[in-house]
Order: sequence, then structure tokens, then C-alpha cells
Amino acid sequence: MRFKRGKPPYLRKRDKAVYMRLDVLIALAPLVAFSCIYYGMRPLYVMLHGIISAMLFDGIGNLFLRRPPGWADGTAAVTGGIIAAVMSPAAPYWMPIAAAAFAIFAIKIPFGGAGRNIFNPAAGGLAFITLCFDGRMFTYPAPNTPIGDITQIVTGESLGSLLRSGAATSFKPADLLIGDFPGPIGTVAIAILLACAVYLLFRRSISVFTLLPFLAVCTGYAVLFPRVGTGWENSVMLELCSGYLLFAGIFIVTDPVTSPKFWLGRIFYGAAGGILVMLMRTAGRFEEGCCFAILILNTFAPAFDRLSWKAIYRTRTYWQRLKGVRK
Amino acid sequence: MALLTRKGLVLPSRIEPAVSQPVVILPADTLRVYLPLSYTGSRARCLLSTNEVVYPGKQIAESADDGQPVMRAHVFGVFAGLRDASHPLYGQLECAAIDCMPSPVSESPAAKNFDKLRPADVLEAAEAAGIIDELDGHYLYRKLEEYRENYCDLVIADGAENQGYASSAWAVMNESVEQIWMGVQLAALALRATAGQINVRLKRNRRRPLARRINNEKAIFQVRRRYPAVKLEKNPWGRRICRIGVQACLALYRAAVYGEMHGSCVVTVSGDAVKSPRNIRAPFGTTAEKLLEICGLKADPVRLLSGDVMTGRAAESDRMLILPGVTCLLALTEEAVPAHGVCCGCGRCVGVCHAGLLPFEIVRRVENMQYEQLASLRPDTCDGCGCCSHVCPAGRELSDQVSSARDTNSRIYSSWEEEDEI
Ligand code: SF4
Ligand code: SF4
Repeated sequence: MRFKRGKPPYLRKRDKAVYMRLDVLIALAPLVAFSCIYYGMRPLYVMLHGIISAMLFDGIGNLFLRRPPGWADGTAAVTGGIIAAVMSPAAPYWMPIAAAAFAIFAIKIPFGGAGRNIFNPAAGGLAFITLCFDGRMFTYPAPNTPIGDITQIVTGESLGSLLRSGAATSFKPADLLIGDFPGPIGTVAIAILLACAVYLLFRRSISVFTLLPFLAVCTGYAVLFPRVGTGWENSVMLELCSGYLLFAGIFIVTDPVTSPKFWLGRIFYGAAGGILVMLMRTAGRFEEGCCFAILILNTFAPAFDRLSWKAIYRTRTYWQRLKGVRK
Repeated sequence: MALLTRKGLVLPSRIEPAVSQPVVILPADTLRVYLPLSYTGSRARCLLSTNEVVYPGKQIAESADDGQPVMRAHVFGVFAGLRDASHPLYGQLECAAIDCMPSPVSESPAAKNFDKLRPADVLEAAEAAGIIDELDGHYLYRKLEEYRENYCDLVIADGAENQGYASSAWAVMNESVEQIWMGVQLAALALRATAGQINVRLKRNRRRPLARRINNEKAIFQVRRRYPAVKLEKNPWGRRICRIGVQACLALYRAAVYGEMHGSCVVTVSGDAVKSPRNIRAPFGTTAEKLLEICGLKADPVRLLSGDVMTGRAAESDRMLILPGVTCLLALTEEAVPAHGVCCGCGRCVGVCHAGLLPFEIVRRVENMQYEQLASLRPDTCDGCGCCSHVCPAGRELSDQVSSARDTNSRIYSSWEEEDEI
């Protein structure tokens, strides 16, 4: 009898990378569903436009790379989903499509496609849209009015622009938790976002080492440099709930491909991300500049990994030598 | 903090049902066994002529290089010719085929007095019996001599099998834990060290009776449950450790006291293609075919592994020989290796690596041919445990690549193929 050879170990965990992407899509679903309660079916259509176009573009991009189209790996769907979730519910349908096209053709495919990209494609697509169409990007309809014709929407002032203008805000915490204020599709329902974070953490699709330092630093920044005059609690609440900071912390900063893999690197990365995001908000030109901060941060991810690993490895070796465990 | 320090994996235990069955003894009487002329790959000349009678202790080969151990037979039989065999652990071997006969000598040799043995006697016995340590495949007498020169304080018998299937160490201990413990004491005597403990990974109800049999509660030491059990050069109190397999300890005792050759070992035959998994004591040189025959197959195996699932090597055919170092034989049906993908960045490989490396980064350097940066990532501290490949959701061959980076010692690879573009 002859047998196959192979490479050890011969026992592998039956975990697949696609489950991680599936988890992200599952986490996006309740956010969209919640948005649909406030605005009618339009958020769902925006989301579908984003996801389907991203998958289509990914297929075309893979043809250029002479690879089989990678629909099944789910990365494109996640990119499209994240882009669409940050769009305004009243965004025209071409906006998620344009963002997805930029994300796939300019950010993902040139670096070698799924798993090899240096920058987060969703952040790139959002940066493109923010730069080119900031007017439409930051126009949010008032909640509880189903959207029919997008030319005739009742617009509401978002938290971000209120914070920028330094105007007094009168949102109650309960309203913020259930997302009863103008904002993007997937980022307003804070309670649901937190539930999604718990789900993703529990499924180990995102890392607590990135998420917590990111949120902690954002909170600290909001305490130290408040933009509202009504006390630090209010400042923290409004900063965390405005724009897509919390959403970015859960879905974009923690993107496994573009973030460090070593725990200490992740901590530094999350903390640096928090500082950059808050700087972009307070000093940047747009009411929300998360995507730019994340693009800058992405370039340093391998460095965070290597430097922090070396620091830990050397310390550990030193200790072991001291205790005589290692030669 | 626990999250940061708990490296390694918890593997599913599949030692049942082999572990609760008594050991099957496969007598050499009617078998044809194949004895290697040399384990080390050095050239050796066979000293036997056709139909010559072979008996335990008879020299069968003469090595072309000086300083190689003398190869001796461990069975009664008739020499039937030479054969080449490939072995997953030892590579290509030239073997002498011997048709065994029942031993004409019926009574066992007189036992020496255990208390009167001197260190030199132990080393001599280990050399004469040709004992090979199943942990690393080295000759035991060489290992002992090396440790004796470099000073060592503690001798440990390692029976901690924590990869899932193998239970041969437990079977051997269940048979004769007293003799193993005496073997540890003999090794300690030879090294002028302390007989430390027997490392096991067993449930309390299996561990307790062993400790009672050797009247020493502390001697049976439970290693951590996670795979791999970390193997330190020194223990946390700075004592240098010599680690010997339990089967080698038993063989050392039998050799020093009874003058027996190291001629057989206990092998766990298991895997999902095997009908009734058992522990079998088989003479060295038996083919795997015979062992599989005893246990029966319920499906056609796709792979045959010599060793346990995590670190075992795949054999090409079932004519593979049972030699020292083979303690587990697995016949598996399923296709374990998933499709290869690109890294999705989950970081699980970093989380499980007990050596504290960045497997994904090392592999990326290898793939991008940045060999000059490899050395600083310390692939040389990888012991090939395979945890990183086990957890990788993208199904990458991490441990294989890290091991190859380690073995080439970060020198530039010279593996250009003909059709590679430069
Ligand atoms: S095989 Fe090497 S790199 Fe992989 S987990 Fe084990 S020690 Fe770490
Ligand atoms: S486990 Fe695999 S997919 Fe995850 S970081 Fe390591 S190499 Fe990449």
C-alpha cells in the first residue's frame, strides 16, 4: 500500500479565514436593519449597492492579476459593507459604488489583492469620497422620516458638525444609545454597535488589544481636550458617539490584515490610532477624518509589530538568562 | 496576564481505546525482520553471509567510519539477504533481512545486583545493548557521556505524550514502572546526578497507582495539559536537566541488570482508519504492515504517520520499519491539510507560538526573499511543534517554512529551479 506525503502537523483546526469575514457581515446586518427602522428601505439598498459592486470590482481586479475571482473569500463584501455603512442614508447609489471602485482598484488590487494590501481598502474608499464629495458625504437626513426622493430630504445637523461649531447639544444618552439622531447608516445605534463588538470579540474576529486602547485613548483625549463646554462626561459621550469613531474602532482599525498581529504591537497601534483620529477631528478640515488617520496608521503596522516584538523578546530572553532557564 | 502567557494548544485526547487495552506482545519467532546496518547514514559493510545463523549480540555490520557504534542483532534467526528501505525518520537505510526462529535458550540470564552497579557498568551496558533514546533518536550511551562531560543535575524520564493519540509511554509505565524508575536511577548514577522524576500527562486515577507502585508520590510528575509541554534546558532553579524517554530507561535497566539487547518497543497503533487501536510491543525491524494487520483496518488509509499527529512524519508505504524512535503509528483517512490561502492577519500563529516568535513574519520574509532580515526574527529557536500551522485559518504551512528557515540558518537559499526567472 502506498500513502500520500504531506507536511506536518496532520491535525489542523477546522477554522477558515472566510468565517472571520462572515462574522463581520453578520455584525453589519443588525446595524442596517436598525437604520431601516428610521429611514425606510433605502439604507438596505445603499448597503447592497456597496457590497455587490465591491464584489464585482474585486472579480474584475482579480482577472487583471490573472487569478480566479475571489468572491468566496468575502474580503470584497466586507469592504463594500463597511463603506456603505458609513454612507449617509440619503447618499445617492453611485456613492458607495464609486468608493468601492476606488477601494478595490486603487487600494487593494495594486498591492496584490486580498491579504496582501497594506492599506485598509474601506478606509481608502472613504477617504476618496470624503475628499471629493464631502458635501454629500456629510449630509444626513433627520431620523424617523422614510426617505423617498433624496432631493427632498429633511436634513438634520449631525453630532460631528455640532461639535465642530462648538454649539450646545441637547441629546440625551438614551437617544444616542438607540441611534435617534442624524448620522451614517451603520454608526448611530451605539447599543447595537457595542453588541456587535462583543460578538466579534467573542468570535475572535477582532482583537481586544486593538479595540480597547483605541477607545481608551479617544476617551482620554475627549476628557483632556473637550470641544463642548458642558463638562467632560458630555464631551466623552459626544466624541465617542459622533461621526463613525466607534464604528471605525470596531470594524476598520481592527481589520486583521492591516493591523499588527503581536499583542503589544496591537496595543500601541490602537493607542496611536486613537491619537491620530482625535487629531484629525480637531485639526482636520472635515467633521470626520477617521479614514485619513487609519490610512496613515496602516503604514506603520509592520513597524509596530516588529519593534514591540523585539522589545518583548529581548526582555524575555534577558529574564530567562537571569534565571538560568536559557543558555 | 493569563491570556498573554498561556501559549500552546489544548488538543483533543484520542488515547482511548488503545490506552485501556492490555499491550499485545508480538513475538519475533516467526517474523522476518530487517535490521539496519547503520542508523547514522554512514556506510557500513554487512558481515553476514547467506543462511548464516544470527543470535542476539552478534555483530552484523562493520562501519566504514571510525567511532560508529557496533551494530548487533537482537533476534535469533537466519540471514536472508540485504534490502534497501526508506524510513520517515532515518531516511534511506540498508538493512539485513533476517528470518527469525524461536529462541533455543529458554531460561533468562542471571540478574546482576542492582546496588553493586558502577557508573562505568551502566555506560558499557547502554553501549552493548545499542539503546537508542526514542525522544531524539540518539544513542543513549553517547547522550549520557555528553551530559556527564557537561555536568547535569537532574535526570527525567519523559513519558508526557500530549499530542492526542499516542499512549505507548503510558503502556510501558503500566507494564513496568518500577523498572523504569530504576532505569532513571541508573542513568542518574552514570551522570552523578539526582534521579528527578517521570514526566507524565495522565489523569489522576492513572497517575496515583503508578506513584504507589514505586513508593514515591513526587516521582510521577504531571506536566502541563497544553501542547507542547515546554522542554527547558534547565529548570527554574538553574538545574541542568537530562531528559530520557521512558522506553530507553526501561531498556537501560534491562541491559544493565539482565544484559538484554534493546530489541523491541511499544508502539501505539491508532488513527481513524484502524479498527481496534492497540499498544503493541514489536521487535525492531518489523514492518508496519504486520502491526496494522493485528489491529485491522476499517477503511483505506490515506496517510501513514510514524509519530503522533502534530510532529509525526508521513511514511510512503506500509513496508515502513518499526525502529527505535517510532512510538506511534497512525493510519488516517481524512485529508487534514486545508487549501492554502494568503495570510488573513488573524495573529493566531503568534498567540500559540510557545517560543514567542512571529511565524507569519518569518514566512513573509522567506516569501519576499528578505533573507538578511531572517536572523533577527530568531527562527533558530523554533522547535517545529506545529502549533502555528495547526491554528492558521488560511491553512498556511507555517511550521514547515519556519523550520526550513531555521535549518538553512538564514543563509540565502540556493533552491533556484531550472525554469525560475531571474
Ligand atoms: S512550529 Fe515553531 S514557529 Fe510554529 S508555533 Fe512551534 S515553535 Fe512557534
Ligand atoms: S495564523 Fe495564518 S492567517 Fe493568522 S496571522 Fe498567522 S499566518 Fe496569518
